[in-house]
Amino acid sequence: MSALSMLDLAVIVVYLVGITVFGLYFTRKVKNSEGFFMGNRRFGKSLMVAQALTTGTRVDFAIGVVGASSEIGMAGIWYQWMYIFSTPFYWLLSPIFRRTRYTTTADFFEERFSKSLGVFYSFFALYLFILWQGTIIKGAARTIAGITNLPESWFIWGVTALFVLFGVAGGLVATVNTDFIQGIFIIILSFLLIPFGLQAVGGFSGLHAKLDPQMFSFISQRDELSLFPVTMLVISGLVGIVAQPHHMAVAGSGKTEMSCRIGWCYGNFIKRFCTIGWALTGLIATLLLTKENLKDRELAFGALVKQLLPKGLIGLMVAAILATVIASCAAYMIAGSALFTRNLYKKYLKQTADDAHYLFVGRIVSAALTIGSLLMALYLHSVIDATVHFVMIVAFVGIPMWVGIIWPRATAAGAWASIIGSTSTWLIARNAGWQVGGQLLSAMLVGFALAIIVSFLTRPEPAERLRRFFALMHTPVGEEENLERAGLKATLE
Amino acid sequence: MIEEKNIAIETQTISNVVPPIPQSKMEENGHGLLIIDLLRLPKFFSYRRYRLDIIGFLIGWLWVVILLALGYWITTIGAS
Repeated sequence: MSALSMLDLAVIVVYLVGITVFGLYFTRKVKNSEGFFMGNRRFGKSLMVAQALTTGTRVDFAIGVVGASSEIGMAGIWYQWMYIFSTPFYWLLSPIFRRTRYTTTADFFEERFSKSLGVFYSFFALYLFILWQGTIIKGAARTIAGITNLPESWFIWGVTALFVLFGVAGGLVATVNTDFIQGIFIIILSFLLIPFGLQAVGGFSGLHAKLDPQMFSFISQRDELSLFPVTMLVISGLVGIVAQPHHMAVAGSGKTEMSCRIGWCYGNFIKRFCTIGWALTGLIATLLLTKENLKDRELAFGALVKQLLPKGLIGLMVAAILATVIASCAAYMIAGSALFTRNLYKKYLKQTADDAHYLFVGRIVSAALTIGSLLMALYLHSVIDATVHFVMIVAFVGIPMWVGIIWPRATAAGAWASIIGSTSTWLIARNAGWQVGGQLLSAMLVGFALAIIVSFLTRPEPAERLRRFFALMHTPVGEEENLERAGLKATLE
Repeated sequence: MIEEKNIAIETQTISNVVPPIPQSKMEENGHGLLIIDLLRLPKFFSYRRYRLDIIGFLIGWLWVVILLALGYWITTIGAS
């Protein structure tokens, strides 16, 4: 029997119908592939904030932090707060993304280094998108199946159909315009359980009376999140942030550089605020859930929803979870199809075709990526394992990006050496049984060292390639006539 | 993507491996980027050039401190 009442079902149905109609309304505005992939770069500050919040806030993050905090206390917050110290850097990085005028991060690797690195990055990013979507679907499916007592498979297929409908039909325009609504639901998801939970445990004083004081510490005594691994996760989070494949759209699709800065930076600050709610919910779960419920800590969130929320609000929570899945997966799916269509298909398979053809291919690829992510979901052990795996591997690709942006002397050979060297070091350290902190430190040191040494030992990139790249970097959006006068005509593709 | 057509303009040199690139008026008036110019900062740094980056970055760190303080404060509510 389902735990959902008629009221819960009504809330979910109203949400699903409303959001679908709203999203489809915006599909009328999608007339070409630029609109599909980058929303024609017309998003203002508020839409950019909403886009950054919703694409960066996934239900699996909430599930992971709530689960970790239920076991190790407030220190579980670092599974997401590892990015808190990176967030001010978003202010500095977003105009860089905007000034490149690129559609995907693979364009960056191709224009700054070489075609082969662009192709490598495209495949790497496709893997990440499939990994992310698989993690989201898996996490959300487990949670909602736990809340509703409905078969997990129903939810997997249902929600997948919904975000494919959104993404394939409307592209980034539909996704971003519905992000406002999704953003409200994400905040609801983050804080809805807290008042009910606190009431059940006797308020904050009840929490303190019944829990070990260590549970309130932000530094765990356990190896999992003690000071050293947290520090290394924070550093690798900053290194890898530039290489996350959806960030070219998240940080670069704004109307102006200021809208990009405000959107990416403050959308993420709202997310950091929501993370406090998830960690606090985890503490409440420690007291309220039995060992049976906490057998798998990632089930804590769903178990708490079922135990605490009254009829109607359970439906609202399910709708909130669906909102985050749709917002995140649709954005990833679009970014993934942009990568494939523009960086692989258009360049290497069919170089001349009309825009409608590429738009059609983009939509087909979107659907194919989603099928891949469904298969990925079957192989994932846990949401947190997938998160840590992601933070590590993306940092290794982030190293040559940072070096390439800051240092004109950096070469493609240096970038390849850095990626291969850091990844190999990480694999060796992991197989040698090193802890996460040691794995990350050794891999990043090797990565940075190889990027610099090999670049010094190889010939600089062709002067004209460097001139084009750094001319873009030094030409703010709105000053394109400068590029044209220098014989460098930049078009926003 | 970029097409080329050379016309003489005001340029700047950013590195000995990069040919001169166009000079930007907006960059000189607050829109300069600290990360892009990181290696040139000891010579070129001025508040006027990097005004937007500096103000926004500092405010960003203020928000980090506020969030950390908020997180800590929440864990102390109800503690005896």
